[in-house]
Amino acid sequence: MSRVHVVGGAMPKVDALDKVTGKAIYAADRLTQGMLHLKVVRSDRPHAQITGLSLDRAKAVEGVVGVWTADDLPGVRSTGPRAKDEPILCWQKVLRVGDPVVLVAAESEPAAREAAELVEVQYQDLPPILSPQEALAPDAPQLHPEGPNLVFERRLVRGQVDEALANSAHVVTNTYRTQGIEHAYLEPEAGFTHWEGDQLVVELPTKHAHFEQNELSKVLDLSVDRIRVICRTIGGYFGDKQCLSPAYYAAIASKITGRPARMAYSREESFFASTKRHPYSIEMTTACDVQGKLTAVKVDITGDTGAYISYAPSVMSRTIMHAMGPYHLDNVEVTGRQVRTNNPTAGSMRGFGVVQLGLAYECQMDLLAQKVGMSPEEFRRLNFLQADDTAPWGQQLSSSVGLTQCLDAVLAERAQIEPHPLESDPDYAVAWGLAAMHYGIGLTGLPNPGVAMLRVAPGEKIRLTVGIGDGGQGSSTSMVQIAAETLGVDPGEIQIICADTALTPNSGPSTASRITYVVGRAVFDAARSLIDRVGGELAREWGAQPDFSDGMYRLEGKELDFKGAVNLALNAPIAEQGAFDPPTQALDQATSQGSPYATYAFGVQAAQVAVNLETGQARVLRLLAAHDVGRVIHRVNAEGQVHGGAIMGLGYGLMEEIVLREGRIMNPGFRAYLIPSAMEVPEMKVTMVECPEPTGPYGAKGVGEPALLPTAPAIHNALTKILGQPVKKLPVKAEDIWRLLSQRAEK
Amino acid sequence: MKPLQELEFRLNGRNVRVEVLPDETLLEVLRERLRLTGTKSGCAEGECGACTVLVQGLPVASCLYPALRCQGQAVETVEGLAGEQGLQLHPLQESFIEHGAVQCGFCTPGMLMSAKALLDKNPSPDRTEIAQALSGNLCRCTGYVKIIDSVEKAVEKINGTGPAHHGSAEK
Repeated sequence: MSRVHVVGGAMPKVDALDKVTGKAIYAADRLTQGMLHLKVVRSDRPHAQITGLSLDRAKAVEGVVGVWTADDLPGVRSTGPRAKDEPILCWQKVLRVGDPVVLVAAESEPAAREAAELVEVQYQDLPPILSPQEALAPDAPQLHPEGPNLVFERRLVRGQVDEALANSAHVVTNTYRTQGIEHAYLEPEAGFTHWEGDQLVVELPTKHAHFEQNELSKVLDLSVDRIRVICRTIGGYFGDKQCLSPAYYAAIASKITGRPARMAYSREESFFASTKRHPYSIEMTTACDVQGKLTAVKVDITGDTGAYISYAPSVMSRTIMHAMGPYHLDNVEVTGRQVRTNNPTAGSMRGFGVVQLGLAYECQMDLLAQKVGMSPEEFRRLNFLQADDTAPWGQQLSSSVGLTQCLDAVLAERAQIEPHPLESDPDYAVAWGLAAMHYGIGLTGLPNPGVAMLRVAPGEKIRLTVGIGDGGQGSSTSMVQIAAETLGVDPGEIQIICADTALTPNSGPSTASRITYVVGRAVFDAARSLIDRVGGELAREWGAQPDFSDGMYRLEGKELDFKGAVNLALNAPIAEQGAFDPPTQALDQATSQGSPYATYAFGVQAAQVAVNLETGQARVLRLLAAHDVGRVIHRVNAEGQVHGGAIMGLGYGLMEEIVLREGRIMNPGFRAYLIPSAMEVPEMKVTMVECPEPTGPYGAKGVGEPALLPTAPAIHNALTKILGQPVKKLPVKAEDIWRLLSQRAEK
Repeated sequence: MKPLQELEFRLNGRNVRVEVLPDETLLEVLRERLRLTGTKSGCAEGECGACTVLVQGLPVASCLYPALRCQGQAVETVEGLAGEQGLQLHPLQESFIEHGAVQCGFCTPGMLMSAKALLDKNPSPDRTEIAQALSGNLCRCTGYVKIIDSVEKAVEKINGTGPAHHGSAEK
């Protein structure tokens, strides 16, 4: 029998058949007799004192079951993914437009809607604080009773930055600004809750089922064992979908009434309720010597985390580790801070505080290259981090650093590409821009173990259980591939169960591009343990411990595959657990020196951009992407991550922005908030550079976030070439381009 | 409460009769009354395409489409794409699976229905025509590349033209 090889291939996704036939179950698809329909009444003020509530008219609506305020909440009144500073229902103050105040439950959707409209909240408006600058002013009021408006500050320090800057041949200083954007997953947040005996079952899309179970225990004042969280099909999350969500309100309604409940946000409510990507203001000074070797970087970053802390400290901790880009530097000083305001809350989004910095450090690279008289590619090549290099945060890197290979791959593709017709069109200016990235896989300097279980029984399928749901990227398929490859069985022999607190271990969150590397390695370890256990059982039949290689147990001329061994040697099921915690070292509190991540993904992208000289409209014509993600587990899914990430990056670069007026989102829906459609897709070419990571499963690292990071910076760099000067903000809109074109024409 | 009205139409090849409120949308009737939840609600304002179904062969945003307007008409949803028994996958479904068009899956039913409407009308679309036909269906996961690839591959399969015969096709 030949060995099964599935790692590196492209087997059909384990969940694709259900998804193309409409059978996949999302939380909003659930329904049961007698379930409650819910609405949340939200603040329309950015900053106000709640002075009164009039609920009687709402309560009088036919079919209304409950109209509840913070006083009716069964457990804690506040929650949050990190700090617990977000009211589930506000009782004293509202800190943003969209803050939840009253929860309505009714027998039907129309009754819930009608009652919600009849709730009256009386407010006394307070002056809103709409920027970090205002929030940090000495006379600014403290917005939240829990602590100062400066919610987090951290520094990374290495070498002697000021001295190095003073002695550098070329120095570039600029200020960059990035915008808040929407995750815009196609599935609005939803939840469905119902009682099974004395256990409350909570069904929702989530990136961490076990977190929700623990958090809901406090929110509902129910012991953890009385809550079962089932992650339903996740209709996209991109870093979001954890903590306060419709499932929390449904669970509260079920706790109060004993009845099932369902709630799904409308798209508009999703815009107002959900977190955004942090808007950043970045001051960056970058310097190099006369040969173009980088000498120093000094960065000061201010993030607007909006009304609540959410992931602000985690995001900024990652920001400062990535603020200088993937370059060798001996003198670095980065200061990053997060500030509370009355704007929409910013939280966890794909790219997690790194994508903002790419705009800055990659623009600086091009500007310095120009000063030195080098091409952008040769300037980067000279300065790239290399295998076994010491990074600016003091970490000795592993052998898996494929930056130069990524650059070579992109340049080779670019050299082959035919000229685009617009290059010879006098109405257009066309240019290429280049950008590189690094991204630490796993949580920043924190333990983040992944756990997986494998169970076998004679005559049954092999059962793989992991605590993480599949957000569409194909994580379940990758986990099955790793198990199948290791055990030497057909992937069809493996049944995977995901993210159900009654059935699966806690594998940590689906975040930080960690699933393949961390949880995948746990699957690998579980499979190796199982091979040993089954081998031990087989030894009782065969008289001695067999070897296992190429999918077969072998002893003195006898051989048997894994399934055969299970059927022969086992009388009862056995299960093995694999657990992997990436080797990291906590960061020094003062200097952030340490080993925050066990491994890093790298990538280089080139974007060819055309600008219509009349209108300023920019269009990406070609996008070349090369990513070092370690060994590729699933070729098609990995490519799909790069395609999707790059197009999300294109939206970030040219289209998307949460527009605020007095803290209120002015474009809360897809009519006014435009994300890329099929018409915006450029010609794309993806190359996977596979530098194996020794600690990863089959050498894999991660790809989810890396895919997105270089796209907007590459587009911005192409525009800088066309315009003769950098725009230095995102998104770059047609009017920005048009204004700079007009200025240039006047000169 | 407004009175319920009777609605009769052909749904995926079968006659159905259902009582609906006069202001209910086709999406609400499909999902909540008929329990066909394959069709998704993504924005409720006709902008995202997740709720796309075919009425008399034309793609419509079922979130805006009054259910009563379907009186006597033929409606197709993703549940009907694999034949009446649901056993024979449509070439588009096969292609979506094979070529990686499916990520989170939330846009997939609408994408499939828009693609089917295109192929029913134009059996040999090029990439630009495919992109145009799908431009009303948003996807946040895939960057559309593999969705367009999959439709292109389904066209080849239906027309019996493999890649070997496809050298001259415009990209």
